[in-house]
Amino acid sequence: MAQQTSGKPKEISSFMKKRTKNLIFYCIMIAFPVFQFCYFYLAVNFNSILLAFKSYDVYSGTFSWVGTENFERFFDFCTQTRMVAKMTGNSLIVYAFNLIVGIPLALFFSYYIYKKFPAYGLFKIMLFLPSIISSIVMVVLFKGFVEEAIPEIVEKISGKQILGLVGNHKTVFPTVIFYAIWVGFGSGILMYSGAMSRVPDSVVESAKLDGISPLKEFWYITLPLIYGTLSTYLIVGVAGIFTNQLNLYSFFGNKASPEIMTFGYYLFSGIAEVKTMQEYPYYAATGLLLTFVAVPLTLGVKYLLEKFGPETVEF
Amino acid sequence: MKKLLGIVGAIILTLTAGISLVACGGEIEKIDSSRTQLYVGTYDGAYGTAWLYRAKEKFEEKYKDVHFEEGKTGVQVLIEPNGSYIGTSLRDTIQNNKNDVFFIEDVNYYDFVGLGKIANITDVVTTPLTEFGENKTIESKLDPTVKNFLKRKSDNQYFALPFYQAYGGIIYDMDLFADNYFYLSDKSTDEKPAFVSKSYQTKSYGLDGEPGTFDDGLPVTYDEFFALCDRIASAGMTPLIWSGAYPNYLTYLLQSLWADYEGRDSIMRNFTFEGETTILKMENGRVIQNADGSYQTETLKVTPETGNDLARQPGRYYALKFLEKIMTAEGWRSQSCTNTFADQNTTHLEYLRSAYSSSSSPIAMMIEATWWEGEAEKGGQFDAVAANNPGKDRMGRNLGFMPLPKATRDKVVEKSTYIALNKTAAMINAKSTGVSLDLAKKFLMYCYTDAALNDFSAITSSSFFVNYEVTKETKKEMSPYGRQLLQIRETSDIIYPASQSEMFMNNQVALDPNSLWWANIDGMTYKIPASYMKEHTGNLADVYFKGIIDYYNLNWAGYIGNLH
Repeated sequence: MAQQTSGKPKEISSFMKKRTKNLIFYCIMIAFPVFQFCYFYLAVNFNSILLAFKSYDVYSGTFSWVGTENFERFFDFCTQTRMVAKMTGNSLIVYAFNLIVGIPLALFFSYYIYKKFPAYGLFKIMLFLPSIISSIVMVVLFKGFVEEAIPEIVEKISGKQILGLVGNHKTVFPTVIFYAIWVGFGSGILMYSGAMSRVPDSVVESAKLDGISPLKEFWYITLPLIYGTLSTYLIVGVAGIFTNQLNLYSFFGNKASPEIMTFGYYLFSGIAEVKTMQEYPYYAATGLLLTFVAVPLTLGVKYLLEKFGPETVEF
Repeated sequence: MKKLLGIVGAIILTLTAGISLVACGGEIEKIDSSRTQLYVGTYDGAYGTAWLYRAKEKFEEKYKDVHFEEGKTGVQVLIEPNGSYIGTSLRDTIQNNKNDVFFIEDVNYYDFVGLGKIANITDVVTTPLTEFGENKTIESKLDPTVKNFLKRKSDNQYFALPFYQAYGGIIYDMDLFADNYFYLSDKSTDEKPAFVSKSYQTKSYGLDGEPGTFDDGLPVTYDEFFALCDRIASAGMTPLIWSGAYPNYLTYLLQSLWADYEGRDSIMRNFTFEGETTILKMENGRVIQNADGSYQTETLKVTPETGNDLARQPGRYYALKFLEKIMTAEGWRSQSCTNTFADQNTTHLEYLRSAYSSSSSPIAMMIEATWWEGEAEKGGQFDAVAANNPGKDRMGRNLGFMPLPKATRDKVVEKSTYIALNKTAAMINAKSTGVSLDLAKKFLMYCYTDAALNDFSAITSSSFFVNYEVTKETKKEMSPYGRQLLQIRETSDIIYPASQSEMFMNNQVALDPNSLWWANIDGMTYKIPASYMKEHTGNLADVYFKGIIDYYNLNWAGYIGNLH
């Protein structure tokens, strides 16, 4: 009895030591990412919020409070030009294409790969490749193809000289949207096929025994079971309406036509090309204003998807 | 097996990452601990580092027996060329950079000064260069427009010097012109342009009005230039090429044409906001034209409050008309002009190669900035052409920088004017102290001696943005293009587009020369005239000119509001 009684505190002590060690290990591992998050995300964004209400004095090299001056400048930009309306329209068009074309195609390709249909391995490589190769390299390759190869092919076939698809202002917007959807497949397929691979085999086999077709299996079984992943993508897509720059900076630097600009490009190229400290407060204010639009929109979509979508199943 | 593959894969990835980290920046030689080190960083661009290495050699030689630190004799200058050494990125990181001296571009000078990132170099600028055998100061070599900006008004202190000098314009192939009689004859008029058809015929006298000089036979007016393009096109050749990927290079040309029309004093009004200038009269959004084809003008007293009317300077309008013509005339442009994949390297190669190509027609002229030759040399385009055409490398090609034609004949007698590009600067890191600071100042002073400046010109065929005499020996080392560019420099005004007026200082981005071409057309803001003209039809110059005026008017109240 005495031996049994003295065994328990040892076990507890050993367990506590192990738990403490695990905790220390966990804290050490998490310390740097937490610090990075606090410093490079929280602090930076907090500073950015403050910056929106300041202006830079070129003589003293300091920032001072100016209230809503930067916001007024943005409102003037909204009312005095069509740029904001145009960028909003372009941003929504890009989102719509992604929603109507990009996501369904990504789901289809993911399902194809998940079901290991013919040549699924080749599709996997071809669709992942753009995500692995550097963005600038991909753009250069793509531009070379559409600006030089396609006009040459057309000329050889029809004898007609045409402009490249990016150099022609009539075709540039659909071309960059196509490019964005194509290179965007990789991450989507990765997530969707990962979610699909977690669908229990027993459910699929049972459905097959009942004589389900691949299409019905996708619609009635696979899609509802990966709805959680899909809804995450839909929500992130909404949040990204104002930050998606459509790879325009990779294509054009700061020289993209205003006709094809999105909000994401406007902000990105504005900051990338800032020549003087005087410009930062304006972009901080613009970003903050767009956040006030994006946050309720994103939360609203999240609410609707949770309310009207199928229940997320954990398996 | 899988585990082994995983380990091998991890090692390979680590090595790859390590190699890429090591590859950042340029080569730095091994440190010689018997000498004192001086670290110099430079933008790794068109002008390369050969000139800096020559300066390094001579500087080290001069001080090889001098003790700057105890136990050490002489100085070792360590040079780091780096493509990321431009003003906007360096401003935030310079305090962590090991380099003491920088030669860079795209510098917002007063950002660096206000943030205390660069050292005070007033003594460097105002002390005679006697240590290097010269009685002059660097300040005496500065153009007034440079001095007026870099010398801080509040206390007459300097914190940087200008680095290279560059501007936009038209490059032409002198051999192609001579072989195909593209030079204008002395009988040519605007109404009836005439070209030489035999080598012994007398060419027109050019802008300088003197026979037997470098600009003989070159067009002096826009009309003559357009007639030249027609002649080239009718000869089955391509008059013009520019980079389709960089339409902003056409904006550089516009800046030059605009400045050239207005002249030094008038163009500086856009930055100083004082004095008077001539502007075009407008009616119903259009320029008012007289019966004889000239435009009605009025005098503007320039102040910050009236500065928006500077949008109506006639030089801007004429420049846009020039651009409209070259962008719309049939048969005047290479296909590269509309190819967004054709960057400057591709364009240079196509231009240089065209003279010897059997599969495409020769291209007579290229629209570029003066630094193009350095880029083409560095990028290997000259070597690529010379590989199949011996002797036709950079030194063997007779290429020239065309003196800009004037908008109207009455302007022909006026001196040419150009706007300098890229806001370049040579500066010392504020963190440099003690021996490092002393050496940095000495090195900077050395680089601005006439001897070092001549070395720069000899190697790069270009110039620093200071006044100095280029010797005969230096000219012999320069390429034919460099020698021609030197003549342009010697006969023109090149201005630094900035001032310390409160209006400019508080609106430096909006009043940068590139931004002065932004236009508001149908509610949309266009930043590059050439991009707008490529996408639209109609009276492009008139529409764009009106757009610039509208942009100025819409935003001017905001610029005034930024004044403290």
